[in-house]
Amino acid sequence: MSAAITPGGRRWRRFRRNPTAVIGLAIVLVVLFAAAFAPWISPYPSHVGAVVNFRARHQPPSLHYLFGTDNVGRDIFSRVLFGYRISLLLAGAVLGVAVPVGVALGLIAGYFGGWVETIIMRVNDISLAIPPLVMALAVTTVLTPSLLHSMLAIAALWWTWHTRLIYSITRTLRHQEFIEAAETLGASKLHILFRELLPNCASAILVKVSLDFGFVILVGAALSYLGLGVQPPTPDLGTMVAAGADFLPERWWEALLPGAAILFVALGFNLLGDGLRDLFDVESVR
Amino acid sequence: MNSVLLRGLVCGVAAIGLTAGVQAAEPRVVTMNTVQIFGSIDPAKISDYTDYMASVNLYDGLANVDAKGNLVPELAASWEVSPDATSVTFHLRNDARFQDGAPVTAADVVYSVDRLLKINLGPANLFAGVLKPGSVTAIDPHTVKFTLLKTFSPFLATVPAIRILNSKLVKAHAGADDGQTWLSTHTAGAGPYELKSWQRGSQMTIVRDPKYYRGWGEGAIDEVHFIVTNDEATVRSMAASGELTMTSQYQSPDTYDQLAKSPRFKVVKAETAVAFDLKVNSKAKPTDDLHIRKAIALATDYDTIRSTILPGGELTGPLPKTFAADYLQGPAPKFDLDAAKAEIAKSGYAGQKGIPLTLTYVSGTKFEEELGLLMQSNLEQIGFKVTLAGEPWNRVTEIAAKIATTPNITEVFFGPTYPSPDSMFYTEYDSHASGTWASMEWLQNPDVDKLIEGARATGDAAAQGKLYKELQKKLIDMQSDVFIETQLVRHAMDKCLDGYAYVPMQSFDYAFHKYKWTCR
Repeated sequence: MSAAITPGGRRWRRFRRNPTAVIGLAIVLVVLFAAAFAPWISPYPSHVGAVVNFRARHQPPSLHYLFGTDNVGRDIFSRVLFGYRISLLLAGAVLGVAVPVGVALGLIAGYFGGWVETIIMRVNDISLAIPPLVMALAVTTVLTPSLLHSMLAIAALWWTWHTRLIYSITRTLRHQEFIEAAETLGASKLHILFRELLPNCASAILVKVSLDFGFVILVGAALSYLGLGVQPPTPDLGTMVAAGADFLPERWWEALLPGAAILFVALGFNLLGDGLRDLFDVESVR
Repeated sequence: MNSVLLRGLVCGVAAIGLTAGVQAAEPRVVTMNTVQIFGSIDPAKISDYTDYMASVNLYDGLANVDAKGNLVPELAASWEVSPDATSVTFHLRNDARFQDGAPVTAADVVYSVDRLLKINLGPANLFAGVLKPGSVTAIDPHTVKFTLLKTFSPFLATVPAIRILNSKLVKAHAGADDGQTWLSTHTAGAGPYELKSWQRGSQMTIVRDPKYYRGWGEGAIDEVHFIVTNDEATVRSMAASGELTMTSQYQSPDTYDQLAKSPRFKVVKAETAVAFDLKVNSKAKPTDDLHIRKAIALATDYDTIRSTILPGGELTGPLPKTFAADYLQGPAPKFDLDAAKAEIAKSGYAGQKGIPLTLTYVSGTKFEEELGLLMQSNLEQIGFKVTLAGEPWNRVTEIAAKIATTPNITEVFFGPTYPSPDSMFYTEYDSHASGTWASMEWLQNPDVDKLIEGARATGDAAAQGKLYKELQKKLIDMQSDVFIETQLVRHAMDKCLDGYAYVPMQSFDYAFHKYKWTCR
């Protein structure tokens, strides 16, 4: 098989020539690996549970403790690796709910038009006007702070961006010949929505999702920084930054290194998303 | 646009000129942080430490409290207690003046007490069943008599909580609510400091009344600026920049250690009558079982807590040593996981894996979270499954209202609001107090109630001491709480500031009239 002439092979080559995209992919793979194998590669896997070691509190980074220890003597590096699990779980769950809902609504609004479009898009406009962090704060304050409620709160507004994106793509596609041909042949609405329109949105969705992963992780971290996410002792990157911030600037590692870990994963997904955007020539994604 | 800019510039220049002009008589300003907002400054509504902190500076009472818990004269120069201890006559100072210059008279005292009882909030609970409107009568302009409804031995200790209002001034602004609206933002007292500015949620500034009737000594503090923040990093950076003169008493051990190293600060320490307990809900499963409560106490690592997490004084029972006459030395608490396991084996939960426990602490308080994690770690080793929850303080007061929402274990500080053991026992263990944050044990035990009520009703100090000792023994035996330590109060203070001394009555140690600036 000659890779040079298959479209997949051509794309992979173009992707490889984009150094930032490759870096992004590498970061994402590293993070996924770290999260998946955290129990085996972290030096102190017990430190994510109910363990304290007050004799080793506030140790600076060293070979024993790569990222130092926190105020109750737990290894920060181990907790960061496990923290990635929570972050990825949060982002995966939020996007797993928000993307299908958002895409479906976007397709319906863009294809059917009329009052369906009016209702969906005006609700969308209203939702877009609410700052996601404020909404998330409200939801988690009314309900009790927990990971599930953070997810709910973020997902409750995240669909809007996908609806808007897919709506605009669908609008440009719906009067094209292949759609009209399908309609003339008597294809069902469902067929047109999900077999004709959706595949044409796939690359845009892929790019958007990979960019969003970083953003959702950031919002999740902001929420837990404010004390509205995961409860102790479960390791969460945002909570770790908040806990460590009390010891700035002398014990910089306690806030800075978990913060750098958030930066790392968000940067990875952003670079990857950028790379994918160039690859697929999707201009409509911000 | 331009003209606005220009005006701003002119103002700026004028301001610079102004500060240069008054530099000669620079006021002595103390800036202190508080970890919570000032809820109310109305003397009929004050309840928590910041409320009292404002009140002891803005208002005066008939009597004050000294560091030993003794009553000392303030607006009243002297007082007599009737032989049967059911009435007290106070003689007001002739020279006592309110901040507006009006003399303090017996009518003001009568008005203040009647208003307090009518509004029935804040300190009014101290006088429930003891005073009713009309109990206080003016005998002449400088003599006022309190007639009690029954013998109530801690009464004198509660007198400083009555802050005296300028009745003419309040009546002029009374409106339809006895001046509650007006007094929520204004003051009408005889205190040494006047309210200058107050932004709820961020800061309060009080300034010295130079005409204060008790006079001022050398180095009086001209202005006190309270800043509301519980963020350790903010407190440290304010201290480093020279903005902060005195920290709150609730900073983390780390902050004190660091500020102690700075050349500008000293750290003053005092053992207090504030008890730090794990309040154990005796009506919820599994902590309704005495053996489970004992197991929790045995699984508490007192050494680590006292050496590393939060240094404090010895506490062996419900009453701190400060109340020496009524104090009962309990057995020294020990940390012994094997003994804890043995207690579980004796309980109704023997052999069960992962006995569920909930532990709540005040979120944002570092050492409380650390203690929570320590308890969780030890309790899970002996077969419990502990759910930790950090809750903001106002939420803690809400969940304390019902047995079902009260956690198995809650970390709570409780100190006397008036200098009598009654303040600890009645507020924490009497059935009347059920549903409040101070009473999250839910004892509702008739024997305990009887002992508390008995001590209140006797004027005989010896009999009272006997009842209090019996009560302490009972509470220790039933392991009503895990008694951790007494709070060691610490303040990092500018080396030039002097005058802090612990007083066993809420926030009476922050009466800045007693403080002085010792540098030039």
